[in-house]
Amino acid sequence: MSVIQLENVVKTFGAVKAVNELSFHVKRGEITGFLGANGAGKTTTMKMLLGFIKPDSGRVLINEKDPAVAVTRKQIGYMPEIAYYYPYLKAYELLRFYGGLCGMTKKEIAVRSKMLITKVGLTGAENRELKTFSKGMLQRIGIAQALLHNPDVYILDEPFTGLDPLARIQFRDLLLEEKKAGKTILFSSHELSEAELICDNVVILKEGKAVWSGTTAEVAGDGTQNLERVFLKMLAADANEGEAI
Amino acid sequence: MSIVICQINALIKVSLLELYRRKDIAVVLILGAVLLLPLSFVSPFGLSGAGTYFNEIALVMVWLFSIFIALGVSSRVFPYEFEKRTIYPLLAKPVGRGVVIAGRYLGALTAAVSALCLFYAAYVLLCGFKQGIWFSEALLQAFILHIGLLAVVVAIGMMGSLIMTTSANVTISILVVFAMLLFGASLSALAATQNLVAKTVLNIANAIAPHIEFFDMRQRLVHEWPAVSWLVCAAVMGYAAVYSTVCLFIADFFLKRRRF
Amino acid sequence: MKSLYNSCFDNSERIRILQISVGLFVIVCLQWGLTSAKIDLPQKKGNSLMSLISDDTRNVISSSMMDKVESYFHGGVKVDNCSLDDAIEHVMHDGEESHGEENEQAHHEVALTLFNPVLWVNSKIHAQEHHHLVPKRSVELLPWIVAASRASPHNIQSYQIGSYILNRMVGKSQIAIDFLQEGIKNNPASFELEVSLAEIFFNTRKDKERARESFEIALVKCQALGRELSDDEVFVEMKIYFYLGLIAKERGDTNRLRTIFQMALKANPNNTVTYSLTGWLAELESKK
Repeated sequence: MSVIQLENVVKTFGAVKAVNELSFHVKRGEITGFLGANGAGKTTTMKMLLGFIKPDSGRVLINEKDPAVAVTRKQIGYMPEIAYYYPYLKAYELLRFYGGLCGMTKKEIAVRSKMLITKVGLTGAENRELKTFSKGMLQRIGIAQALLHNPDVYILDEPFTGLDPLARIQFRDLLLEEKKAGKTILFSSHELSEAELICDNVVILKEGKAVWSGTTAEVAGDGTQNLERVFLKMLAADANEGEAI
Repeated sequence: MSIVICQINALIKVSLLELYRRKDIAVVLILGAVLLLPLSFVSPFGLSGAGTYFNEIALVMVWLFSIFIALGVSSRVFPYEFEKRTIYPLLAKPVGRGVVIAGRYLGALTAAVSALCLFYAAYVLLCGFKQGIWFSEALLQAFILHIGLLAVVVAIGMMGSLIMTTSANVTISILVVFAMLLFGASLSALAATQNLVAKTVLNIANAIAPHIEFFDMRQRLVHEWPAVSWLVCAAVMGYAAVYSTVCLFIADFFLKRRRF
Repeated sequence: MKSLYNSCFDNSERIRILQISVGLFVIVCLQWGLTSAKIDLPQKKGNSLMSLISDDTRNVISSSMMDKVESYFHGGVKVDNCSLDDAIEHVMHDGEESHGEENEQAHHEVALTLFNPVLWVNSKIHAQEHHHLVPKRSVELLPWIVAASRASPHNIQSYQIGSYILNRMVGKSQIAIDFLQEGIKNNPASFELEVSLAEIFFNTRKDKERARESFEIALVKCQALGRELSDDEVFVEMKIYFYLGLIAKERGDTNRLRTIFQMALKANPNNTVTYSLTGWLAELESKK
């Protein structure tokens, strides 16, 4: 069953077609990497998946429901590309705030926060104001807030940006752990090696169109290719040629 | 319904934390103390017993500071969210934009009212010690109407923040609030003396501009006029509720139309 | 202490604290300047543009302070048809606290407001009638009087009204005299302030010799103006003739009374003071 569904989605900003007839599905328990050069339409697609903006045509569904409806987003955990949070809040207060928005009880928030703060490696920093956090620490608290309400679907925008190698490994393990728990994950990234390591599927976007989509096994092919080569080939080639590959 | 209350509660708490962590209130209280404490010791010609001037200046400060705090809190909520992109993780949660408006409004209002409570407490203490008057019915009414004023000012600030830039919003809001405070009561009389076009413009302004002067009980407090009827207070609070609701609906309309 | 300060505030906050501290220091200095009585007076009017502007600004501030005095006297209500001087006279002579005409006007306005909710609310929230401050609370006016005279030492009205309140309503004639003398020092050409001072000596202190001296100085200053006087100034001028005439009559000084009478006749032949002087002169001459 497809948890994330995009069917012939078109989104235009003025004369610019940010997303053009985009279709792809993500099944339950899969990790899908959403790749593309800057301006390919990744962030616009993610915004449509979160209901921030509505597509001009086509359908965007999360668990077969419209993400623009607030209740649908209870099943989504989102981490933005640039991790800006309220600087005057302490880490624990930020999680309590987002937990409150998700309708969690105080007890649930306390239990999940404690667990996640340990998991993302922020133990000891939970009572510090976010303005004192480094970029990597902000990224970690961003991960924690996305996972806080235990959603079914994670939509992560450049989640590896700003993380040190150790944190990357921790985060990678965390995602694999969540996948094991049956969570569906869609993340955009420029980190092709990370994507290759953990993704089941990859969607490559160029000028708002999916120029390639398939499993990571398909990427490897006969063993002569890797994701990086496919990605560069796709970006260099015309979309139609890409489909032929 | 309970999830909405939970969400609004979370938004209110964050607004309160922001106000107190940014130390705005501390700055305003220190400023007020620096201005008022020396004034409280003024004894013109070495004669004691004058307290009305102090009462009035203290109330003017309470008014100014509360309006600035209310406008400061309300007008920067959404621009800050947009600028710092905190709006993304916020709207990604299962919260409707209407609830965000309501929560942010109530948060800003609670923050402004909490500051007002501190200001009135300081005012009562200072005037109580100086004049020996600790409580009056008019004081209670003035406080309640002041909350109504903040409800309107916060709604105007929030609505403006979704329509124009922060600086334009703050400038226009301050102009409107103070212009109506000074001239709101005379608009009808002024309209009556004008030609048809000016009369129409003034009558429209009279109908749609916030009547800030409705909430101004300073004259009654300072010069010890008796309290007004509670029915009138209820009518003014009703006006504040209706006016704020209209502003919030407009804010909701603009937030829903906004492209992120 | 320093480490505690550093741990409590980050760099931007420290800059804000510094800015606020400087701002507060400036405010305290301004406030001290406004409330302190130790300002070096008189402050002479300069010729530069800045001093002209600042002087005008100070006059405006001072006038608004005097408006405040008037408003306080009327219970915070701005009343167009009841001047401060008249109102004080009403209170001192009749003990009157409010005017019946205004009540009628207020009723009329209430009737109008029935058709206009904005007017209706405003008529209920803001006091529509006015009352006069009772003499025992007149000390409430003094801070604004001081502020008006400090804002502009050339505001003669602030000294006149201030001394009147101090003398008549508060009962502190010595303070009133000191205040007037300060006013005279700041406004050496003002004959009105000399008259106010002389009236206190005459009416309150019953010191007719000092009163006469002050009235004589006032007369000299009035004559030295060398211009046509306004109605208000003529009113004060006639006061000088009245009191000087009265003192001359009491001293039996016919020549001085005749001189005063001739000056009054020249200034305003149809004034009641001139009529009084005529009667006193006739009285003295008949005694002779």
